[in-house]
Amino acid sequence: METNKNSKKIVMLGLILLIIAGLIVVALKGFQVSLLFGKHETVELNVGKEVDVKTVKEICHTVLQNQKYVVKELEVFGDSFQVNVKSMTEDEKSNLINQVNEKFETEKTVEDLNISSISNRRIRDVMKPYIVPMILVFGIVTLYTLIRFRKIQALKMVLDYIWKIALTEILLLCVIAIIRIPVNEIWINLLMIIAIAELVYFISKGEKRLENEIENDQ
Amino acid sequence: MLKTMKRWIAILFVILIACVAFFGVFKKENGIWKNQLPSYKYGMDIAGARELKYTLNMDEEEKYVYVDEQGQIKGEVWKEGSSITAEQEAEDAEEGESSENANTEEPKQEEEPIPYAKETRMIKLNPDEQLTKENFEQAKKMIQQRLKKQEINENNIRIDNVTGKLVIENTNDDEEIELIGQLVTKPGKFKVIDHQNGLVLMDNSDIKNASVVYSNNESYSTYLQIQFNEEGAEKLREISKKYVEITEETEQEESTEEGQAESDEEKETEKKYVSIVFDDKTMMTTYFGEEMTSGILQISVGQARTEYKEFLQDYKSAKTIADILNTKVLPVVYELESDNFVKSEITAEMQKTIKIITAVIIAIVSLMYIAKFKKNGVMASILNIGYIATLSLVLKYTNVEITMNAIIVAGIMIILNMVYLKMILEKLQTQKIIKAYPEVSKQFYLALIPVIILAVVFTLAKNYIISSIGMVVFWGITLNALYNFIFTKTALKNGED
Repeated sequence: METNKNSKKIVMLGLILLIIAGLIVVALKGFQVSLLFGKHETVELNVGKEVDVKTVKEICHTVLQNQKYVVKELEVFGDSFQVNVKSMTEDEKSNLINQVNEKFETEKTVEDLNISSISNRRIRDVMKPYIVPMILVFGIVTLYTLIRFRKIQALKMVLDYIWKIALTEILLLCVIAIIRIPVNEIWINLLMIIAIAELVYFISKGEKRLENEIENDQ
Repeated sequence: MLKTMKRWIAILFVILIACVAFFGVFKKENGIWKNQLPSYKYGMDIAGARELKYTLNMDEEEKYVYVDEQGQIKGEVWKEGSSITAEQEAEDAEEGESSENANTEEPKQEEEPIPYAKETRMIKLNPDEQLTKENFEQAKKMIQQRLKKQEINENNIRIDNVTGKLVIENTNDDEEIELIGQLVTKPGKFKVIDHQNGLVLMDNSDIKNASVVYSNNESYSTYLQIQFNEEGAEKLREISKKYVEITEETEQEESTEEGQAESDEEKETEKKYVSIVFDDKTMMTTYFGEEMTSGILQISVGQARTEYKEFLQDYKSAKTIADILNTKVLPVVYELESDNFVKSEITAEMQKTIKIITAVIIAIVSLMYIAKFKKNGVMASILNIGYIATLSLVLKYTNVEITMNAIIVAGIMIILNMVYLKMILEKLQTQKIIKAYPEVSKQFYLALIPVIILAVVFTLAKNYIISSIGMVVFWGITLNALYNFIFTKTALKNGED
């Protein structure tokens, strides 16, 4: 009994430390965002003949080395491409052009590159449309829980799942912030799925308890 | 015997659905075999997007303007509906004087004095003091509002707080792209101008709201209805009293042959016009027939139309202007820098890999079913593949927009069906299907109440990603219930069944 209490205390302490660490990271550095989500540069080039994205990726791999990059095909004719990268130096630009000229037998110059700075997409802007629907879902589910499980302390059940779901989400966000996982829309969706999965778990647990209660009454 | 036949018919039907969904239905059209099934409607994260880049319009123009004591511009100097320069005005004045001298008998029309000075100023479309971070943010918010009002929901907007550059990613829809162009590049400046001299009589600050109304008698007519605020309504009332058709009766004396003087009465009409200008484009030049006391002004958009399509076009144009007016004037003016179609980073090769991985996972789960539940396991595997096939057909025919998030959710729907089948298979080891089916269904769907609520709420959301998630969940669960009621209940059996 004593050991159980102690281990619970250790777990709680660990969780509190994790949350504090997460909050510090968020306050100091914010969340790590994926390349296309964050501020980056787009480098566009019209090669003038059909280009293979795979070959462009190979060129970028050589030119940009350890930098993260995303190559996309531009327009429908397949003769242009776009490289998304945090930033590109003058050397990298000329290197890119040289390699493109070599691979595709063209005579392009650095001036042919169309470079634009793309600002970041803010996480709060992406999350905003989810807020009202999620509040509605939780509101309706809570109302349902209060009615359906009124015989088995529904309010306690609601409070129980609210704090547990909140804790899980906070912990996950802290982990995402600490281990610097690049956040994008898919991660926001996954957090939502986890919250709903927890709700399903609590409701199914409630159903079992309700069933037992009815059996005991009979 | 009948039950066995039913079971086999159900299984054959499921196999048929799977074949149709995975391989398609082909028909020869003009010598080419063409799949008759519709394709998926992909979201812009998979199908690619139009990337519109806007920069601040740095144009500047020399204008001859009225200026008040505080140096505020009160309008552009006009002469009969078009702007003029200081030089043109001087030339006109000289010509006026010389013609006056030549024909001194012609009565000079008295002009109302204008209480403002005139000067030539260099006017920048985006004055330097307007280029602030706050204004860029404000412009982004206003453009978002305009897009929302026009129900253009599938887009991403980014603003660079330093350069003010704006990037909009939208679906590859030419009509929407054209509309976005108008919503971004039109600042939304509304003015009622004295047509005679160019003085601004009313502007956006007088507007309460704008809407579109139409009449439908023998033809359709569209009107932009502008409701003014209290101050604006008062200004409109004053303007409607002043800018009217004035009829003056003048007496002319003529001498007759007999030397007697005869007097003739002649009516002279003079009209004072106002011009209604939207973003430097005159929408209408008119005068008022009666005093406007309601504070509402109706401006005709287009002509009277007998063709519904043409009327719809007028209505859309009027709605665009109304939505722009309702979001106030953009603090900065944009111009299009580039418009490119950017394909998704998810290439066809990546899509193929994802399909192979999914097939492998389904195969492993099927093998596990077969190993544990033998004959029923084989049936459940076929049923599961049938569910995936049916879900894919439903998503194609209901035109649900497939985004990356929707694909993840569809995967979860498939997992849920696997869980359902596993629950049934386990129950079937001790119970008959007639008892196992309702018990498992009750337990399963009651636990899924939060997911069902989410499906309904998300489906009704306007955001395309959220609504696509909602629709996939909705069809996933509805199909789960129907499919398992029709096929699973029939195909699976307990030894005693």
